Amino acid sequence: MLTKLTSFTTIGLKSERITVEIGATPGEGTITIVGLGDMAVQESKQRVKLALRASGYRIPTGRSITVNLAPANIKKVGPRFDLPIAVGLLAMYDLVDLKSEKLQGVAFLGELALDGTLRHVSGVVSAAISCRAHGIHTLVVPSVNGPEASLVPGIRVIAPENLRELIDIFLDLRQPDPIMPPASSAVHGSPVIDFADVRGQQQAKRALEIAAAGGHNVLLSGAPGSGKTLLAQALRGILPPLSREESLEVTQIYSVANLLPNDLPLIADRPFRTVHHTASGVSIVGGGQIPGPGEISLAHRGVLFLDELAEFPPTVLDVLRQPLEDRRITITRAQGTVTFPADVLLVAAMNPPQWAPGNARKIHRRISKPFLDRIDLTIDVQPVPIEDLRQEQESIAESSASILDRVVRARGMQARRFAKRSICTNKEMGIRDIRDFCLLESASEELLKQAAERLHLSARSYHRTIKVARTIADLSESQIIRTPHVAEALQYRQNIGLDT
Amino acid sequence: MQQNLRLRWTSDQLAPHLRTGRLGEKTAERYLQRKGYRVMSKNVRIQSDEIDIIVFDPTDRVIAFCEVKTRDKDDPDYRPDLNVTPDKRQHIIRAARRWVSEHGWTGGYRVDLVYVAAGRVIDHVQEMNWE
Repeated sequence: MLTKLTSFTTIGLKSERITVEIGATPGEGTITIVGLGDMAVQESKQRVKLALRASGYRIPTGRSITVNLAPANIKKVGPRFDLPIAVGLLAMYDLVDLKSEKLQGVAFLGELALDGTLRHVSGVVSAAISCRAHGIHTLVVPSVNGPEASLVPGIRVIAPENLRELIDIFLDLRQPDPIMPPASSAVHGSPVIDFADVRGQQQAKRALEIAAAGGHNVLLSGAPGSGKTLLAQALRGILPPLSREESLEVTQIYSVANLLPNDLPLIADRPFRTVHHTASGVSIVGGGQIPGPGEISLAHRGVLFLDELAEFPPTVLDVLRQPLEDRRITITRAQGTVTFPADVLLVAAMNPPQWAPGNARKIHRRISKPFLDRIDLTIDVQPVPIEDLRQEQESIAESSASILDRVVRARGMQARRFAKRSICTNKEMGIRDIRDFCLLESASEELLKQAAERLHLSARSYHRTIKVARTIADLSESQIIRTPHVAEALQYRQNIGLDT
Repeated sequence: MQQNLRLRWTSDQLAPHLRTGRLGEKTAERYLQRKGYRVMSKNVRIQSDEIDIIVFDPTDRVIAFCEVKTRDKDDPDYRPDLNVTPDKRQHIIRAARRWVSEHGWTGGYRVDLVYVAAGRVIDHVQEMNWE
């Protein structure tokens, strides 16, 4: 007596195919699960036993059952194997008429409740993507995971409420409930704060517009109460909507991290993750015994906001350096190496040195030069005079919607430009892309050269300045980078008292 | 000694708690027979352990070693299974294994718990050793 079923386990963002083999011999009436499962996998036998009983099935007693999760060298975590084990037992004992052909090309994922209902599991999007790669035509997931699984085209998804319903579907006694596909173009979440509501701060708004258009990293420096946090939050409203592929990428990360809201199977808004300065390095870049994504991966394709930058321990800021450059993070542990995407727009806010506790030198020690080098736009946020705040000038401030319009057009230009490359925004440009796409006027070339000498720009800063100038040119829909574009880009490399 | 006990069981002078247990085993036996099980042996002593009833389950074609726990009254706060401690469980399982190896039984077997309260079977836990 032997049955084989297919399931998946998550490693990093990827899903590995797991074969669930079940065999039984006459014996003491025990069940053993082998194949490097954690406690949740081991406890599965208790849930499966009661769930089967509650669903009205009685497994013959006096058999020693062995469940083998192959390949045996991959660690398996979580309760997702409950469903394949339960279905396998039913098939093995011929309790239901499940021919092995019916189980061929079908993958099962699901946690069982004691009453036989199916509970939510993590990493369903990754599993659905893997199904296609392994030629599996049907994926069975709990009903709450159904919409999530159906995001991946090309596979049939069955999402039953409970075990009984699944068996009825397999026996063609009933049709599977249609899965409500998540809205393909979900409404771009209304911004909490509209730029029209932010008084003054023209320069800061302009810089955030550039950041949104080219995906550049921003540092907002300003006196307490000058509106840094407000501006950073308003940035949400001017970020272009996620494309379908980007949405799927973000959803996949949230699905693996088990942070996907039940009512929102597809993440359509760009994530905005605020990290407190007490956060540890591992919580930001990801890790753990079984490596999971950190804040920088959860902010993938969105914004990572570090408020009170000067309060972050230097070690925490420095772990961000590499992922900011590579746009992905590789976590290596004894268990293995996993890579998570980490393409974020970094927004940092801090009080200028004269306002910060301690002195400028202390701040300088905390925020290293290499970290600052990765910030493209530095903005000095000036406090807005009280009279300006009181004025009723609704017409003057531009709304987020019209800024977003410019940003989307600038992104469109970039997308057309990089159509043949594997990148989509200016910040991702490599040296060769800069040479190919950043045509500078001779006057602007000269200006940049002078500035580089005077400001002692590093090679990285120099290239980053060109990238920002490219975005500014894109915003004014110019193919060539002209002198005003370079001049504006240089302006955002301003001294805020951190450079010695 | 064993001979002696067997004599006393039939008498009315049995201590009240032993009498309860004895009656409970009788009730359990009748219950198991009614369910279609074939009683193979009763009160089997295997070294220091004892198996109350050994039956054959024809549906699954396995031997079931039954431990009977009896209460005089059916009190939900004082259920018979409170007396099945982990130690007791281990003893029953050990006894079952010994019986199987002594008798050279190659088929399946399991350990059951039969709870009797107020003169009737209130629960029958099959395959207690599944874990």
